[in-house]
Amino acid sequence: MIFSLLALIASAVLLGCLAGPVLDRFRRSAIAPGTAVVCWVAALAGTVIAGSAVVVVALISPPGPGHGLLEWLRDCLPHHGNLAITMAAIATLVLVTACCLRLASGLPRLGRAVRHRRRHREMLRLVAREHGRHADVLVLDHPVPVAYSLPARQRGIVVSTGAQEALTDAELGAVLAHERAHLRLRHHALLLMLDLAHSLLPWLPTVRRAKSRLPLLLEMAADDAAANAHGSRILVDALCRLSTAPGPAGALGAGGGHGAGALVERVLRLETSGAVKPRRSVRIAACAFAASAVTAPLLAGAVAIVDLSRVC
Amino acid sequence: MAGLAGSLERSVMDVLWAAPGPLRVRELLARLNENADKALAYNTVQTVAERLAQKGLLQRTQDGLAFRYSPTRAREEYAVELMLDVLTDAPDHGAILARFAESVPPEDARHLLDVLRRRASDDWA
Repeated sequence: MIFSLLALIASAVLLGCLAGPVLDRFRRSAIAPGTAVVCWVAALAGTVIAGSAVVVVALISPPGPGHGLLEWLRDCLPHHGNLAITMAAIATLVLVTACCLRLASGLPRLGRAVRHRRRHREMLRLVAREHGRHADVLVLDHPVPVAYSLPARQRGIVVSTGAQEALTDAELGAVLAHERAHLRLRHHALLLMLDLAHSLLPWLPTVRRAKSRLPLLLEMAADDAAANAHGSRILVDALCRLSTAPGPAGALGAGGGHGAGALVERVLRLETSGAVKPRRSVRIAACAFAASAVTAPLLAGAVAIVDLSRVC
Repeated sequence: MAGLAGSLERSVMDVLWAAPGPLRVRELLARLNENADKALAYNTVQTVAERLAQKGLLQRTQDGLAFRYSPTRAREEYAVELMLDVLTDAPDHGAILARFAESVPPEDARHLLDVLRRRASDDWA
């Protein structure tokens, strides 16, 4: 009982406060962006799981009223003193209020992002043209050179006429490969989940750092896919002429905060990435971390809850 | 994004954007059927126009017993709004705008500068 509780709290603290700073330490040459993305997502998922498990455990631990749900089944209320029950009830009230407040601030945000995206897509449908050669591309009449992607069943990539003029055929191919990688790897969904986690638990170091680091890593992962198919030289040329963003997900606020430095970092990495190859052992360790980051809090939480349901 | 070309709403908007002024449903219908394989029914077009008006994309003005429909905003305005949507979400939109400003031809740059100057003086006023 006490061990499962300690394990749960330890995993919540380790994942929520330490995992992010540690992941942030890895230099970009040491770990491939795709692997880093997996680690970050696992750390985020683990943090959210551990956090919710801690809340559930706190709610159903005796002699709180939440435990009454379990006790109802087992009928063991008289063991606890009146004062203890009152204190636990107050604690429960505070905890439930805090959780409701956090959810109330996070969920409407998600709804807004989805509505915003839908409106954007409706407008596109009225204004954009189909691309002659690429079936999955829409063309928007605007001189600013931009390419982006939107999660959609068909025609998820949008290219402005300015981008078409600025890019050669080969460069456009590389840009499209980059955007297709975003869509194939479900990066929009990851960004949306990241935003939700950030609005629920904004003060945890892991979540805060994921918010500033993950968007750039997603771009790098898509860069890798495009560079593999078209060569990094062509991709760098294309990136320098326009910006490729994973579309208005409503998830990346304007305060994303890495500014023009992000593009410089991506280009530098593409130009030097041939030299340093990430080691295989690093990849295996990363996968092991990702797997344990999700399973440890799940297991500890489940065991703690089952233990509590046996206690009177 | 399915059936972009086949979307009736889009065809109606295209016709109205191309038209010199507000159109009645009958005129709209005639232009839509000009180069269509299958003629559309009057009621269909009226329903679509009404729906677009409800969405705020079209405005209607009374003309005798009928209504005339016209787009509330020009096509370019939608393109600009979509673009702003993308740029405010992009982490490096300042850099995109800078690269764009460097790439425009001199006469366009002068035009852009005039607009910006006018806007700046508006903001001050």
